Amino acid sequence: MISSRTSSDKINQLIKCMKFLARLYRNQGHTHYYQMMADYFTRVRDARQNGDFVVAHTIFFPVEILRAMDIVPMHLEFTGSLMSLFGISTNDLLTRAAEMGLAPEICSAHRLIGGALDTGVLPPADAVVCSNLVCDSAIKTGELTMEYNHCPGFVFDYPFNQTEAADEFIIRELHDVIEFLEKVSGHKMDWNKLSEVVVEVDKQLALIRRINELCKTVPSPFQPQDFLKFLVVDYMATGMPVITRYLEGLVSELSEMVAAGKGFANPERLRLMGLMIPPWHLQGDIDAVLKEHGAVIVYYPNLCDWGQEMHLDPEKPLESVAKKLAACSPMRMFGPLDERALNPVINGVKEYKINGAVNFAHLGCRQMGPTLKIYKDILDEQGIPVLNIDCDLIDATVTTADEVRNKMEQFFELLEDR
Amino acid sequence: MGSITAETGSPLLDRFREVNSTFPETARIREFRASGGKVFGWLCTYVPEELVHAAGALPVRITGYQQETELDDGNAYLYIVSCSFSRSCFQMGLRGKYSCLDGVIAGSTCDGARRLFDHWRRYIKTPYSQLLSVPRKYNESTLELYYQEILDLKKNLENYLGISVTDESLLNSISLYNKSRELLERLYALRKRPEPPISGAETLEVLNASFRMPKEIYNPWLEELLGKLKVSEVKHRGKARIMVIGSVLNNPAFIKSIEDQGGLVVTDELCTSVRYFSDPVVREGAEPPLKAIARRYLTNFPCARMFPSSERFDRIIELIRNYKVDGVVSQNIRYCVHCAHDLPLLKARLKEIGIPVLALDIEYGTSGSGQIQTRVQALLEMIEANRSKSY
Ligand code: SF4
Ligand code: SF4
Repeated sequence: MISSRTSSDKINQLIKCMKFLARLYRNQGHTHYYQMMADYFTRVRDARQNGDFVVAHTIFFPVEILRAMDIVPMHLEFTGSLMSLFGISTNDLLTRAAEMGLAPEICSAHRLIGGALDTGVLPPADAVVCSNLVCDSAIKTGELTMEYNHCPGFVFDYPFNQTEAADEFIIRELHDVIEFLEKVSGHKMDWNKLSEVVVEVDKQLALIRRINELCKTVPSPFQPQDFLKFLVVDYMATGMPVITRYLEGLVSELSEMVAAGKGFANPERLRLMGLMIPPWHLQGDIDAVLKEHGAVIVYYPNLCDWGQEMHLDPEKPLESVAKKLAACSPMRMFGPLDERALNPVINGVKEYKINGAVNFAHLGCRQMGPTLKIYKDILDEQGIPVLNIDCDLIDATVTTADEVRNKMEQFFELLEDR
Repeated sequence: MGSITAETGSPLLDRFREVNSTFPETARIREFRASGGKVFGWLCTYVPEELVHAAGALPVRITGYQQETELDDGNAYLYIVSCSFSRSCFQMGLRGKYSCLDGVIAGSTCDGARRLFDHWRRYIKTPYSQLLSVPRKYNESTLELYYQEILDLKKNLENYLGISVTDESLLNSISLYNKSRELLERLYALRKRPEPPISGAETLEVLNASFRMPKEIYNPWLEELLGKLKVSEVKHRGKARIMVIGSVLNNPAFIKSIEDQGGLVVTDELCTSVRYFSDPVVREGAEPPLKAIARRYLTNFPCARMFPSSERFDRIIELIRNYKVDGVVSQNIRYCVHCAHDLPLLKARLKEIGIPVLALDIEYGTSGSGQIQTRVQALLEMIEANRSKSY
């Protein structure tokens, strides 16, 4: 299959947005974040003319490896999601995906990639690495990307159970993927650079933990939609020094707010747990309704909880990369829904003084949707009501901002009446 | 068209039907349990039945309701975004239909199966449960991982059942299960005939029984059936030779609805049929029998979950050639997304060899609605029209 058109318009729009936001936030931690994003997509867009080697990859592939090999990463799911976040129309891409024959039940994040491949919105890739993380769609999207780019690919096969044999296997897989990348790109793995990246990652995880701690204070200083930025930095830019600067800026900004007793919502009346990712295009609307009602989402156990302190050892960079991947909280959705996955939710209720939980049930996600009953039951035991909102991460036609607002307002009333 | 029962006057198919209509509370399962045997349910074709059998237990496949059913409990627990197969199985379990099971063994084969297992363990609480990591690709390293997973299963079964699984018992089980595979291959070979003695719907009934009863009883039944079919005068005819592909399928009425329109279903790539019995376990040298089992399960006719999908596509095309297939019906259970993802690429491959594909989005257990029948008719007409054009 060959794409019918080529256009980098949407990528250009994305870069423009990022540059604008980087200017807007001048002198704050966020400016580093947006600048990093602008640079990321500029590098992807211009890779061909600069003679860079681009590897398209699906979610959770450890980008530390690509960085240490001086390969340009292109995150497939997030490129589409960020378009949606920044209001760049994605309807045409979803329509194209339907015309290609991708069933509507397939998660929109992945249908969007199909449409983007077929319309040439995604810049070309020289190779693809995909994995079975975190759902069935990732490998399939990886294969489709290989097909459209006529390029080689590697599947990073991540074991479901965490066992000794699985740990050994993951290291073998990482060695194999490095061998594959060296062969197809001609770039050698720079082990010193990988160690440096690991050191930086370690610092960044400590900073995110520090931010989570700051969110435990009443009132919480953190703007809820910024949790998503942690996902973006982890999946796209982990280990880059600019991310350390962004997180350090954020920590000092939030610490000042805490010291001054300032919160996201003033006064803060309701503290919420967010179970799943809210629709990208409704972030602003959700934060607005939260703020108006003195509510704040203070904890996303499945998105940004890095658990206990863990030391990443630069002397063993590959083992550290594997260790970090295993500790990543969205991985709890991949593995068995056992104590390891559920305890953070239970413990979070007390630690973050939670009044209620909000679940954004993304239609098409066979990972998140089916967890709802289990989460509801364990939160019920803690006396925590759960609001479920059916929505779509990307497709803006599924749930409107007004519908989300109405549901959230009714829920806040219920919580206030308790 | 005729049916085996009517033609031979023997109750051969009725025996299989009886197993299917009473499952999971079949007489054989009850007898087995009454004699102290343990029954283990398995989910998906990546769980090695031979190992469970060698541990002295009876492996039976967990399936959902035979017909499309309201899935109130399934929806409430697994949510509507899980495939209806997993919701159907879960609801049966939750309502006590699988109380005959002493254990459940699943594979991490897909999102649907994984979440079904999470809920099964939490809410149905069958005494023994284990989920195996099943790699998505095959090489020495993934083979080693999967081998370790089933070694772990072996140890756990030994502890749970208080027995020891010897190489000898594994070899016996391999031979029993391979025999079954060989007989099913022979059954399928009969369908290569221009006018096969058994219909597609009937074949699925025979297949359904194969994973719901002891192979020790099943194999002789199947041998007897093959003997009768060989000399049978029954001839099934149709307007076109059809292959059914896609998600799990247990309801023969779905196949029958295609055959009632004049489509002669001659083969498939379903995990309840061809993908279940193809490729025997072959031991290389003096390797541990469990290693041979591991290799067979990872290299068997691939499910859509495996990488690269071209291997699945190649084997589908091989079947199309061997069975002289004119058209393909792809039945995808909604939210069985690996099959759905494969469709555009598979259709492109089949287009290259001139094979039309009818893609149906269905729910598990469907018998084939009026709309489906109309679309099947359109496919058959298209095949006929193409055929007359080429003359
Ligand atoms: S939202 Fe769910 S289905 Fe979509 S990519 Fe993420 S895990 Fe997969
Ligand atoms: S029908 Fe598809 S998604 Fe559902 S359990 Fe089977 S393979 Fe998995």
